[in-house]
Amino acid sequence: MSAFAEVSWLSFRLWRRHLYVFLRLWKSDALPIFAEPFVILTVSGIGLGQLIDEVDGRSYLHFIGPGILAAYVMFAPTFENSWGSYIRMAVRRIYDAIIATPLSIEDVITGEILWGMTRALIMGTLILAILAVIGAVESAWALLVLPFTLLQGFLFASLAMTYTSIARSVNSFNFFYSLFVFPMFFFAGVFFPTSDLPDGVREFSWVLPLTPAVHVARGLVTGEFVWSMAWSVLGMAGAGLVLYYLSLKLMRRRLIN
Amino acid sequence: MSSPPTRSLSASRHDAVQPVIRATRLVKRYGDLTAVDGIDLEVRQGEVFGLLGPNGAGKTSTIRMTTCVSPVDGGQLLVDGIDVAQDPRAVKRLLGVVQQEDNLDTDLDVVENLLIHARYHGIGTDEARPRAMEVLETMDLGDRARSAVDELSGGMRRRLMIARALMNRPKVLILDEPTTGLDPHARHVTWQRIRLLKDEGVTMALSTHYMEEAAHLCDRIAIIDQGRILAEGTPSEVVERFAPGQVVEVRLAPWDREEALAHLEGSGHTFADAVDALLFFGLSDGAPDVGVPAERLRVIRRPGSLEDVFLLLTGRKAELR
Repeated sequence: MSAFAEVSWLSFRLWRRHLYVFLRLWKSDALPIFAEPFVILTVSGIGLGQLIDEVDGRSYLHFIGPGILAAYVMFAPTFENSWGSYIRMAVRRIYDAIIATPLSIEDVITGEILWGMTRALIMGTLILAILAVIGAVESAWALLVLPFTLLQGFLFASLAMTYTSIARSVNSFNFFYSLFVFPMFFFAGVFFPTSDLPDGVREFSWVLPLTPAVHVARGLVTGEFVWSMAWSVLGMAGAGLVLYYLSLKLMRRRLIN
Repeated sequence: MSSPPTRSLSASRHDAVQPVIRATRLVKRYGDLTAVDGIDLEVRQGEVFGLLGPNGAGKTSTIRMTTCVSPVDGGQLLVDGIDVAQDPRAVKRLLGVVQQEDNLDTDLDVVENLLIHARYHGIGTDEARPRAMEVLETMDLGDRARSAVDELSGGMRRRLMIARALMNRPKVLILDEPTTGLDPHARHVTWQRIRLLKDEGVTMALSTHYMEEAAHLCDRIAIIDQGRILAEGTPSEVVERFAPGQVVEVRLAPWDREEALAHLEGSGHTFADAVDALLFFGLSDGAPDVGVPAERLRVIRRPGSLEDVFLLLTGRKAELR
């Protein structure tokens, strides 16, 4: 567990760099961040919702709202810690400059993941606000989804970071997205319940890390708790820790040699 | 940079016994390749030390070990008495590092690069801001504080990297090939600024494969090849030792080269193969017989230089007496 021992509070110095850049650029970044989930919610929720009566006993908009939230809370740290981190590491090479200061490589990776989690929280907050405005939030318990976005952010930031640590070029991410990230968007229960999937595919959907995230987000936003949500949270935390550890190990191997 | 006199006095007394950087039997391996093969070296307070060598000689490996981004595989490496393997964070606090590749943060402008870098060192923005203006001035970038990094020329970017490395008032500034890739003008500006730092008493360790750079800037040099140190001393000491007096440069056509090298085999001459010329050392008078008719050669007799020594020691077919 020596990799964890190299992590320190100095990670937040990199996190603050990211926050600084984000706050300076947010005006140009904010519109696309906001527009995409808004469009997808209105088109599928209100448009498709007219064709679809009810799913699991609620309107289609109420059904996909939490799913879209979980999906975009996955996308935010995934983009940040795949393309974003890879470009910072391998193209701009800023990690090389930062690890020459008192920060360890583990601090740098932790700072990157902390920022990925922050992007997840920002995205979750934004979408929850949209859902509230269009009347797709049923209970005050929905606020619990915000701390949950940090856990989900941790999982997906660590996952993306692990992939980044072994990526050979920017093109390597095409595989990651087309074979893993985007399929999840469709098989993890965002647009229809995983129980509607054919046998075999359904079991497959349960190993996709977005599936438990959608499950928990849906339970929190609707205020309908089931025990399986606890298992989902535990599973996500466990997988997140393993991937976080792996990303620390692999990044040290890649950059400290 | 402009440290108060009391501080520099106590520092020099302290460092009379302890060099800023000391490598002892230092080793770096990559699989079967030994990149650094048991070198000993010292960088002393206030000096500019140059590590000279061809590409792949072990310069960058040595620098990477010193900056704690490459593990030491053997021997010991101390920075201000601290072992890089024991306490890398403490070592890195003392260093200013200018890497070979450009790694400026292009999401930030010039002054933000300095302020955020200072924060990585734990220096708050209020304290860092006047320091930033000071180092920008020193690096002749005073009017560029709010420029985007992408708008800067290659020479300016390199000087900004030096400015950034000065933000934490390093005990030693480490420069890995500081002028590689710069045009001659930008190179001279960079040299001028490095000399300015030297005059202010900044200790520096740099690597280079430009002999002119070493002769211009360095108080002491070490020539390294295949992971071993082949010569060490002041530039003039090294020239005096390996290329005393005159060097005879015999320029010859490519098709005559193999013949000349074969002829010289076992001749007892000390010479360096500079590919387009052969350099002969220690000849009191006359030209050496290279087995090629004299009308096909151009013979120049001139004082020895650091470049001659470099070619003699690191040349591919150098034959040492």
